[in-house]
Amino acid sequence: MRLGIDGSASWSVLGSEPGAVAAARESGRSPIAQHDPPRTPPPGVFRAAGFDVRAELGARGTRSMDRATSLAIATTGRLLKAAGPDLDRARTAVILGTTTGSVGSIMDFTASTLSGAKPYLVNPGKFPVTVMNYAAGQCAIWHEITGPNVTVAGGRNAVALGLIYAARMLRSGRAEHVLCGASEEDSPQRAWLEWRARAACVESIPVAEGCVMFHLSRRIDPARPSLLAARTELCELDAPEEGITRCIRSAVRDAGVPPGEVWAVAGNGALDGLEEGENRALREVFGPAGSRRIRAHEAVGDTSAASAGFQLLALLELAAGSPESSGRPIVVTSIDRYGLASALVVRCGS
Amino acid sequence: MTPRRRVVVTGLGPVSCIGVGRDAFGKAILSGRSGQRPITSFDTTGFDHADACEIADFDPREWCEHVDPHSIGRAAGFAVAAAGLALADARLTPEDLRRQRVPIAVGTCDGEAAELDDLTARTMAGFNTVGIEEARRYSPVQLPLSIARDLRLASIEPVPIGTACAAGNYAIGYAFDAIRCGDADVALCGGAEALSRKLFSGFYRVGTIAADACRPFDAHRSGILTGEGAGILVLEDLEHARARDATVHAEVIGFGVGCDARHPVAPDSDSVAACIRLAHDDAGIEAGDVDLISAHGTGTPVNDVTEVAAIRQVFGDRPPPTISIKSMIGHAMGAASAIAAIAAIIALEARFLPPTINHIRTDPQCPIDCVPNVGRPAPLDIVQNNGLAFGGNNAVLLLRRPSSREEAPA
Repeated sequence: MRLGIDGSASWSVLGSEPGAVAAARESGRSPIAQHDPPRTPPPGVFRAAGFDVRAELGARGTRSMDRATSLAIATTGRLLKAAGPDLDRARTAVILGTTTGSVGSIMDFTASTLSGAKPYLVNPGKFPVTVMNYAAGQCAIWHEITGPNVTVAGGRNAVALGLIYAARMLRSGRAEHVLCGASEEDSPQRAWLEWRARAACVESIPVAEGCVMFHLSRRIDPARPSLLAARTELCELDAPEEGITRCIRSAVRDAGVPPGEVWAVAGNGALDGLEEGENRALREVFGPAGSRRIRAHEAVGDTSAASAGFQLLALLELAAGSPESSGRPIVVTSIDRYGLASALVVRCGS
Repeated sequence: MTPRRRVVVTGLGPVSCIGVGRDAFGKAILSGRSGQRPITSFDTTGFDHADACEIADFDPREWCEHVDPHSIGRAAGFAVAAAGLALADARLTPEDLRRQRVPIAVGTCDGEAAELDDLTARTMAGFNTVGIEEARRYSPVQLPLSIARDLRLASIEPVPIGTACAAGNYAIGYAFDAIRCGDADVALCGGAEALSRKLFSGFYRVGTIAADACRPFDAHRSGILTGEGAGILVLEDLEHARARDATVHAEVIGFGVGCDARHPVAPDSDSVAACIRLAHDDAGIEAGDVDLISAHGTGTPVNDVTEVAAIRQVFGDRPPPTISIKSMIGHAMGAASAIAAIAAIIALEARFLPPTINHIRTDPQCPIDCVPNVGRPAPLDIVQNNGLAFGGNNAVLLLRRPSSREEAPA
């Protein structure tokens, strides 16, 4: 499937500077969670640092907008800026991951039908915001991107599913470039529902706002990273290890890389209390010594649909500062609370 | 580039308010039955009119074999039922699918919006009473995963596509590309949606819920009726289908997808026309080859005028008959274009044009033959299925009746 990763951009509790995730890991400093009960669940939430919608996008057209959408527009804007003016936006696709869109906007909207004098006295300007593809559609409108526009409601595995989608779209010639990633908002409803949906052992990780986007094409530049394989597998919920192992094995086999060459791995299992099975699977495939292990959520919190994207971003940022990573594969795994696992294999730039 | 494989439809699984399963749904579509009835799935007190195309008496327990029906929402229940019907129609067993990696692409507008309706009502005073099961049930990833769990499939590529009202066509296009480029031999694809208070009140507020009936292309049309259900199709590599002596319902010959990038809710005729042309180019056909258009045809004043303008841009002054099954089953949002694709295939097989019902007088601004009220036989070979969505997300699918050579096993 090999695809070139031509660029990346992100916005999280660490801000939007390139290299922010790797830098936070090195400094070892933890961001401060905003705790504002009863609006937020006990561990608080991580809000995208320095993100002011009006400062970024202006006042026009942003009044009803949710934060997952404005973050996606701003982050996509940075990716486009880095791609340069020659990018043909009619041949560019947007594939944006989410859990279920702006659940804050959806539930506020529905609440207004329940509490108002008349059930239909809702804010019509908010209605489009409650539809799941609002963020992807707004990215297209804001940046005049007229290629295929897709919303992948894949939750924890949205980025992996988006990358599989992107690969096929490029191969089928439906686009020449794909801007692929995921965005999640900070809203009380999302924070609470995420927190309530978790296994008891992971209650302390803050739910976090964030967006991460990658620019993909079929142009392979050995100096830049490239996606070699992406795989998904449905695991047994009470014993996910075997399924995760199969998933990683098939991705590594697809990528055609010897497991011993892998420079580093990052996994999401901890976010749903499934780290133990994930660790066993990683040891099974990569040996007892394993390779170096990154946990991006320690730096950026639980960004749900964007979480695998942040794991990949963290690995790529670290690789950029580590000469020994040159040309070597890295692996990102995810496992969600429904038992769906994914594995990505990416070759670092040289 | 690897040579493109041919992709055929071998299984149809419709779950709709006018019929569940290929035979019942097919009869209803060809005879023009209406599924309109008063809404019962949520309290409609305070709305002046509140009809929809709701599925009465759907019990997920009748359809779920291995999935706990309480662990999934209403839309996922529809999806599980539709997938089971589609597989049975294709004469495939879950065992057959375990030998390969199966894409399962399910389009939806709102995922489990009815679950979020309930959660909203429950949590207006706080989230303390929400249990772990409820907090997990609303996730749209459950749509393809419930299908996989119920069929006990592990090697899957489950894609929940949230591209609003075009999501069903997107999902079919996804499976089409996966098989055409050789990544899969068999795929399940389509869409699922459940009625919700959120969507109904939103459309009601902006004045697009029809007061009496859904009348696409009619001078008296006043909007949509919301609908629900699921449509799942089995797509298969032609050679794979031949090798197992499968019945081919239709061939998927082309797909086009594009984005207006202009307005969050209003469709744009130039970009809809461009998307139709993309699909024709993808299939290698001319506009004149299309014998029937299954329109997006929501029945709102704006959609129908814009869509017909786009159709006339591409097809000229004599476009083929253009019908809307939304007159019968309402607007099932993320499931709409998937169910419409199934209806289009049923029309192809029967060589019969399904009617657009509730029709009084065609709007002079929508000059097309919508096959008013009564269907009729026609020598159909190629059908076009339009899906248009909020966000300017358009997707167009082209289906062809199999030639006698493909119908007969090799």
